[in-house]
Amino acid sequence: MPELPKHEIAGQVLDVNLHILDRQVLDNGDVPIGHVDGVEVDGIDRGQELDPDSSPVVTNLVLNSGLWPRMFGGRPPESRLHRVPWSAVSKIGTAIELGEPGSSFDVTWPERWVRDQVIARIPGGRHAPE
Amino acid sequence: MLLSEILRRPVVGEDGPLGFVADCRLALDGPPHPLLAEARLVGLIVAPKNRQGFLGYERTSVSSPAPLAQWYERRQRGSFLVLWKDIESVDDVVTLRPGYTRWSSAL
Repeated sequence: MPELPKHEIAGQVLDVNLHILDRQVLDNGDVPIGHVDGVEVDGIDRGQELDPDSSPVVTNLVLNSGLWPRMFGGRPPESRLHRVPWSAVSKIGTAIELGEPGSSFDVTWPERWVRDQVIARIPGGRHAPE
Repeated sequence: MLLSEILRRPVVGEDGPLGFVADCRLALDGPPHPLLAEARLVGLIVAPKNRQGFLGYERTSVSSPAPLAQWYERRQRGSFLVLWKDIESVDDVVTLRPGYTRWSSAL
């Protein structure tokens, strides 16, 4: 088979499946807040003819929404998609690092709920151990 | 749209089925954001067989351990990159425009 020509790209190149999906996501304090289940783009209308001159742009990473669809198929409802905007991503390496604290994203709401509703009611649960 | 929904979709061209979407290639060459540049979709990587790649052996220059590298390269041989401008529509099937160009899928 003849060698195919290489398409040169100026910026950093990433393959979604290889470099992004299933990677751990760390907030700006290196605390893990989840893993990537999807990459959301705008500019693709299903079944419509696509505009060759405007490439889709990545808008969000979708975190922690893939367990049930992987087991049972289908797609989680919109309300269950925990999105992190691409503008909050600071580095993509072996883990994906964010430039903001995890508490500013919806994906960490179960942790905040347990902290406020369960841990805080335990005597001594409102302060750090001495 | 989620890019993970496009993965493993069949791809057809003017001359019939070409394979399946193995991956989506992004480039960080958009307008700069405070942290990281905007990422745009460059194109799709099409593999003739619906097989998962493994650790990028087939797209990078990693060649050891040699038996594994050769095995995974052989599983993905014939895969190519098709640019966004050559993609006509995305639905249950990804359709390419007539006269599309095949580019190397190597990173």
